[in-house]
Amino acid sequence: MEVLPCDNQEIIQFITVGLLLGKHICLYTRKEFDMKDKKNLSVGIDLGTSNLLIYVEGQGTLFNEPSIIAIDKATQKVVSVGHEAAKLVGKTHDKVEVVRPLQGGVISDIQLIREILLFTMEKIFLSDLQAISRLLICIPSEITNTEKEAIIELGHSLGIQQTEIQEEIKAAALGSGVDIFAPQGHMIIDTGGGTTDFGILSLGDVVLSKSIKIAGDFFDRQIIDYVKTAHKLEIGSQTAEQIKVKLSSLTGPYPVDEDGEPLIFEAMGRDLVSGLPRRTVLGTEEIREVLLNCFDAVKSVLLTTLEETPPELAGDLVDNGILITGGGSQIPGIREFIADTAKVPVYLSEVPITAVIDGCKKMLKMTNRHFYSEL
Amino acid sequence: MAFMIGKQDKAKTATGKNIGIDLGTANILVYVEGDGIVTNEPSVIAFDYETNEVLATGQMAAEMIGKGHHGIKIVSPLNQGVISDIDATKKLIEISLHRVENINIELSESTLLLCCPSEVTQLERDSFMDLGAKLGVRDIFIEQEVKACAIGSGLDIFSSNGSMVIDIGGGSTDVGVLSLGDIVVSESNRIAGNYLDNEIINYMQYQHGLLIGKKTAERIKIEIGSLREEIKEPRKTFANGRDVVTGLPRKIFVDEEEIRDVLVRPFESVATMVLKVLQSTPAELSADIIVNGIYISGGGALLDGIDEFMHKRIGMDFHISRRPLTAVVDGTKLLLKNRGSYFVKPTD
Amino acid sequence: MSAAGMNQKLGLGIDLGTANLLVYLEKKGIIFDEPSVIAFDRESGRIVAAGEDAHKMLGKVHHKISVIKPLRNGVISDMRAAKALLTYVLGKVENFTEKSMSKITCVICCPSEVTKIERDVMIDLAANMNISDVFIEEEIKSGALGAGVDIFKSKGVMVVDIGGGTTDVGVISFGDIVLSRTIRKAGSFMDDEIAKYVKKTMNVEIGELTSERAKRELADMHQESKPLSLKYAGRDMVKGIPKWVTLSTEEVRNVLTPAFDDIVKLIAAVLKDTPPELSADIYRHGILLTGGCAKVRGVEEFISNHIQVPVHVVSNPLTCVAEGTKYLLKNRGDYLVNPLQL
Repeated sequence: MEVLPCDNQEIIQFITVGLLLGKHICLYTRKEFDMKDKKNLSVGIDLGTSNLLIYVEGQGTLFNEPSIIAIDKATQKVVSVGHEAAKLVGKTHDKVEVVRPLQGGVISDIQLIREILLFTMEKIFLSDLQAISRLLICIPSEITNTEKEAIIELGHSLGIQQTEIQEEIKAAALGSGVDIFAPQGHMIIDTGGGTTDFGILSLGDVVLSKSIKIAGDFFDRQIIDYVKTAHKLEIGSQTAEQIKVKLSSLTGPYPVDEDGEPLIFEAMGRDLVSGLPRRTVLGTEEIREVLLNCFDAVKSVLLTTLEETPPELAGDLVDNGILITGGGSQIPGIREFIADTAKVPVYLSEVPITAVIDGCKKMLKMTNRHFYSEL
Repeated sequence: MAFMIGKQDKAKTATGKNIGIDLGTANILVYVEGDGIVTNEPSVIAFDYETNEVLATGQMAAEMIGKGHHGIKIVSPLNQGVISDIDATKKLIEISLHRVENINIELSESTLLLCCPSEVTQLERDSFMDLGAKLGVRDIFIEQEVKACAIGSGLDIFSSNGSMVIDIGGGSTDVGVLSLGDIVVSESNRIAGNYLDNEIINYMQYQHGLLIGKKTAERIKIEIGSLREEIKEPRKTFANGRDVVTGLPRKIFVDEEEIRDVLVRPFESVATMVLKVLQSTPAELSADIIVNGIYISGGGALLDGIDEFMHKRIGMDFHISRRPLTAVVDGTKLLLKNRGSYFVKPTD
Repeated sequence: MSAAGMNQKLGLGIDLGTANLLVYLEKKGIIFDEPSVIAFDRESGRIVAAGEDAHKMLGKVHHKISVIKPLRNGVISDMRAAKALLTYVLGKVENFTEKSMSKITCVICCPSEVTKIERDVMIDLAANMNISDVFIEEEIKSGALGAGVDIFKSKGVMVVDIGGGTTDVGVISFGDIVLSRTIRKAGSFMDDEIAKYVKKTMNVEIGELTSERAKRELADMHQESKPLSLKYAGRDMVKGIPKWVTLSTEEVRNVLTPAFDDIVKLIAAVLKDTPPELSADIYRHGILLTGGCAKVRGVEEFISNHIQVPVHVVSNPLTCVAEGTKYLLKNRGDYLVNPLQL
């Protein structure tokens, strides 16, 4: 993983370059944030299952790290968040617990969220929360109403006048340039690290949404299982990820290298029987097989979502089609795969990784909830 | 029936006006004396589900039908010719009137005439009287649509020469025979625009296995709806919806002839209702009707071949009203002049 | 009842016809000559229309209006409506107030054979209008006077008045009626017969106004009348929808013949009972025909063919009764006073 300090304008370039190089890019700018005379700030937070992002209007995305936290078991206080917490995985003692608070898509402990927010805000030099006049939090679709209310309550308790919740899928659509405010149905599939979300949007809000935990992380686990079973080799999750990034494809011709030769990957792991380090070679066909199995569930939920779409909006999809965003939109052949299943046009977001936060930015600029009133 | 409250004096101040409202199931039209028809929009109102704040009315709200999410409540307050949501109805009227105020009208000096669907109950009428008070209108009275419709269709209902009109609206179809300034016989049923849309939806589902929304059904009806027996060059249009079996979005094409076949059956009941009214009409008025013919008004009058259809089944001459969509509100113009009394034939 | 006493009171003559109401007012002449129809607003009781306007409404009203014909078969069947109608008529006269009513002498003309009750009802009508001075006379007497016949001579005159509700046949001599009879078959009956015929043979129901119009346009009792067919509209009784029917003069003649036959029979019966001296006068001078139906083409020939007595339609068959009241008011019906010479 490379950590590249950069400013917002170069983000798009880096994605492109990074992907061509087959690298997993994590975009992150950590700036000096001058707190003096900063008042009435609008802040957007993407409480994703994989990553936590914080955006401050006028300053850009100031935090973009994994949604992992380390807690001191005794005091229940947050010890570290993000990259630093991630580094502690598998390396801590009993006094510290490393968790992914949003893993299940369920925010079970609101206090924990509070801690995370305070901790991260401080990290980006935004310790005076009173300076925030408007807070917009994007959450996964599966969150319940009770949880939503709890979060808003949290915002108020922190002294933030205006706290709102929006579904990630809506932000992702908006950030990808979809006009969600028209009386027209649009469908978004946001497939990231932890979950794949499906949403039908119209008139500025989500009509229906579904979410499954079949996404990047799941693919990694499936690859691990496969290598174990088929190659009798135990590999680590980082290796699995690398395999996924290099060899993934869903349909169409298999990916080839610069010379037109079929891509392969040499995976290093531990022999299941002997326990000794060993290598094995994996090909694109095997990985496609693994992915297709995973995508069965995706296909199924996609069809269910379409089935439940009100007819008028379903009708719009014939022309508007489906937009895919999130890391998974980069999988070669995913567009054709989805198009084949749904039989409608499919488009890929131009800003798959930052779609949610981009949408957040746009929403922070707007004042009216539905943006549709003309009275 | 005219219910009169308020003073009878016709003297108006410089800013008080006569206002006529056609409160239709599909569309609401407002006429202001001196300014003509100032509002002509769908009778739809969209509320924010939580705050109950009005988000949109009229055309904008109509576009939202079938496309809303849980944060928006889209209401068609007049359902099937009956007021199903009295509060939303009042709101709709209020908003339309406030638009009217932009034309510099003093409501407290104005007279308001409300034309209601024929099946309005006494309770609902009373409710409208309250509305008048709440709006600060000096004088409010209610009339039956079919009377305004006949006048707006150009018929002189005040003479003893009987006239007959069929008003095919959104929620209901009204048939009336009029003479001497009032209704002699009338009948009404729910076979109207909305019913036809539903029939189209059902047809698409069962014949084509495609689920479509109301808006799409309505569009199909407007674009290629027909009752003509012989169609030389059938028009076609597209329909987007959801496949019943696969659940996937699908687009198909439908033509005029199949839609005609769908529409014929409901219109047979309309024809039957017309016959029923004729059968209850006194002989002397029947004589007038056979001479004058029967007028068709309302949105349904725009269906291609409806006059031919009715003529085949009933044998009278049928004429299409010259402005079928605005006939009711056009009629309010005259009714405002004589305040709904059949005694007085209003002069233009 | 001196002639001098008469001058202080205003004379009012009413021909309470079943079809038409005529009112004569001294010094003004005939102030009303329109159908005996009145229309009320049911809720308020207010008069919506009277006379010709109300007549046009027959068969055409909605439930808010009720149209009433206060007279049936020549007598008052709806007192309230009759009073309203007369009040309306008098109300239209200039300078005519409530007070004026008490200064009126009124004569009401009625069919020849009416019951005492029917007569009393007419007097009540006047009383309801605050007219205390009222007397009743037979229509045929007034009609004869109005037609300009000097009934005060000792010469027999036969008058046949075929009106709307009744046909009266009477012999007058020496200023008063010698004998008279009535049948309740006249204009209205004929309209009904035409309607019945259309119903029976064509299964179509036609309205009152239409059958009346058909009678007016097509009735021709001449045996060789010019054939004429006209279209009328009504309601098909089976399907219930409007329908055109065609009627010819021949059909109408056939429909009306039985009624006219009955009238002829009545005339014959009266002649039979007429004292011979008077019958001689009648045979010599002929029968006078008055009333609306006197205007039916060929009716003179029809009657004279059957009776073998000349028949003459008076010059003013519709108004002679009302015009005659002028004279009746002058002599108050006294046969000794010849009002024609006053």
